[in-house]
Amino acid sequence: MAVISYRDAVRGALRDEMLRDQRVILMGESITGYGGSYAVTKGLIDEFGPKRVMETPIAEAGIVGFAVGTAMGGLLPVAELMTVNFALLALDQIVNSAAKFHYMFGGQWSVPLVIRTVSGFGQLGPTHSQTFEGWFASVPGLKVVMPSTPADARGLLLAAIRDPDPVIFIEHSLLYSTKGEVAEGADPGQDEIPIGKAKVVREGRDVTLVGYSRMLLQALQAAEVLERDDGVSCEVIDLRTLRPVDYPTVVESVRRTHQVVLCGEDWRTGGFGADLLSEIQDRCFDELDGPVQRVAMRDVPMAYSRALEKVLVPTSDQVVEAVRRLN
Amino acid sequence: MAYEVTMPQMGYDMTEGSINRWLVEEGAPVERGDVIASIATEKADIDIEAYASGVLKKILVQPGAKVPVGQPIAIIGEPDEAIPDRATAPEKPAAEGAPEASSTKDKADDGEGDRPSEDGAKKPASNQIPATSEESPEAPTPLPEWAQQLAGGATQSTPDGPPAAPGGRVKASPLARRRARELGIELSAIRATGPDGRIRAEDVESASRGGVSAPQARPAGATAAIDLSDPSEPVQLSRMREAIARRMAESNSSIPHFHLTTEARMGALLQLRAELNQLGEAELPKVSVTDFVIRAMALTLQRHPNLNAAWIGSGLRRFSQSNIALAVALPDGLVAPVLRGCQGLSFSELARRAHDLAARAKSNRLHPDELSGAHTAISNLGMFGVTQFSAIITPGQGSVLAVGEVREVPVVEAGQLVPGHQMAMTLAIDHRVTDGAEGAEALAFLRWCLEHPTACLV
Repeated sequence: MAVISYRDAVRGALRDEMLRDQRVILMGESITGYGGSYAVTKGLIDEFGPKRVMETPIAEAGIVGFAVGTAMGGLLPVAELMTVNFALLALDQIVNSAAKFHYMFGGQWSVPLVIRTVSGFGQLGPTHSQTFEGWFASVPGLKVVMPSTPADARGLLLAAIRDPDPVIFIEHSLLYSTKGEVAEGADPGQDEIPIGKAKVVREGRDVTLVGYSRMLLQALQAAEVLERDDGVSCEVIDLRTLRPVDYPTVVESVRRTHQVVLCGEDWRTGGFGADLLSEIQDRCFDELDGPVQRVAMRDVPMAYSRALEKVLVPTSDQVVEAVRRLN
Repeated sequence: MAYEVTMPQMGYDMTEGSINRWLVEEGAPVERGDVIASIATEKADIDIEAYASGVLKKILVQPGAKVPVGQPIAIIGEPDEAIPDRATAPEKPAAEGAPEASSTKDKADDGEGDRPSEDGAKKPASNQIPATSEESPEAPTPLPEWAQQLAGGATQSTPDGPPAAPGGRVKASPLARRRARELGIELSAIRATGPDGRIRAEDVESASRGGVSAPQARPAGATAAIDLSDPSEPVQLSRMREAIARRMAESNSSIPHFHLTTEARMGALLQLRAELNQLGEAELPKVSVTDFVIRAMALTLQRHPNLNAAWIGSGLRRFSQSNIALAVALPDGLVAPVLRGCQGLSFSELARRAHDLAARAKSNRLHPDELSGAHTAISNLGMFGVTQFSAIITPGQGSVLAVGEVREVPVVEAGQLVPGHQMAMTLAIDHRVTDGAEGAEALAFLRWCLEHPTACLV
């Protein structure tokens, strides 16, 4: 075990799997020289050369189309899209090619593709501060993963590369510098964290906070505050995978706490939390002792101004308020 | 057999259609494949063809009326076939089918310009449900008439939620409602401490600790928790299953059953049956053991009038007629058509009527009247190899006889072990109606009739 950053955990998973499996290749914009927009792939070009770490034009549909083809041809591509905002340009390849081919060709082909991309904000303006995990999570044929810790980032990325289906792997720009304990060495069957399994990261009695990615850390902070100031005991669940969702873990918790706050960073309207909420009320209706609360991005385009941005993005304070509304 | 022509679904997004005109008049013959009507969808006019040959017995929907997909619009049948009453009226409320209703709506639409049609058919009748029904968002669909009869006529289902307090709905969380149900506490008697005056689970628990009386105790087991770790899916209930579930649960939890079992020697009866069945069907249909049991039951009810009775409402009623229901298994449930006035019927007449009822039950051609009014019932599972069982009394009846298989077994006769035929029967009786000793005497007489089967021919 070593204490490393989320960024190094992602890079380490890529490197170790590339060393272990010759079929793993990387492709993306500026992933060689600069190491990608968040320097995740820095240095890999030197170690693996341009045949396995490929610089692409600024053409997201082309990157993903190329990746789908190489995946169908027997390689294990990990395509990087600079941010999830740019994935919009590749939506057709993601939704109509990657997610569909296994189904449309009667299982003759599979698309073992990973699309690594990044959500987040921080004075990036209205077109670069969005997050679309709910859109991808609505598409049958895709798996959607959003790790919140360095250990999960490594374990889930290894699982994603080895998964036979296309996986949308969404990192978070504000998590890259966070640190945590991470295992070393690639060891299939041991080192991966299974896709589709949530994790109870803090046990509690009174209310269940469900989060993922950056909002998981906000939920944990809120749980500390509520324990200290209100004597409210929060159970915190890291969803980790958004498709498929590990509902049994969520339901088991709700059946004990009877109250839920869903913490997401996408827009409230039509956001991923809305879908979670619908399923929870259906599976847990008679267990709920109060309305399911959501913490989400405000329904407006992101402001560039730092002051306005602070008002729009969901924070641990909003999680605390949501829990207090319930009691 | 009558065949219903329904509004077809032409295209996945079609929810309703209207009749332009009928091309065949009522009473006219139709061949399979004939165009019988022109219908209009939102997109096009379409001719519809008959899927059966016969006579267009009845037009259920007149030109101009708009009806939802799947609703019967006409009936094709044999020239001399009687059309059951229930088929002549559209099941959907008139608001959807009647021309005047849709024309009113059309006017409203005209006023609002060229909006896509969204009238009657799409809007559930819930608009008309009075405000108090908020307690039961799934407004109970009325059972078809036959199912109402099976259900004993009482179709007003009690909503699961508590009664609304005067002046409005009681606010309570789903968990609080469930706990209140489990503890038998009325929500209106609980002090709310939650946000917006909402009763929360904790309030129910503290009310329960505070010894609030439980005026509304409900039968236990009404709500078992679903184990989510054990994969399962809810089954859409047929009307029949719904009626059976409700009536049997009601019976088993509210009727104090007691059970008496005996065995009859069936040798003489089997021999008599074999002789009778040589008569030929002109004189007598092929008779079964059940026919003898029905006749024996009819004789028993007359001899023991206290058994020809049932607990109804809050009192005991004794009947003069012996009306006996006969359980008939169907692929998706069971029905129990009723032989009325058995006391006055000969053995052959009883057998004829029993056979006719069973045949029509299996082809779903019973009249609703034939499903109610019994005072006892007979259920025979002998043909399935069941040796002995006990049955649940149908509410409104006083007893039920469960009949097992006729088995060839060794029996002791005059100190000798000889082959014999035995049949076990279990009579379940509502203890409010009568007691063990009288029940035992009645069962003994019934057994005597079967062991001396010529008595059944008297």
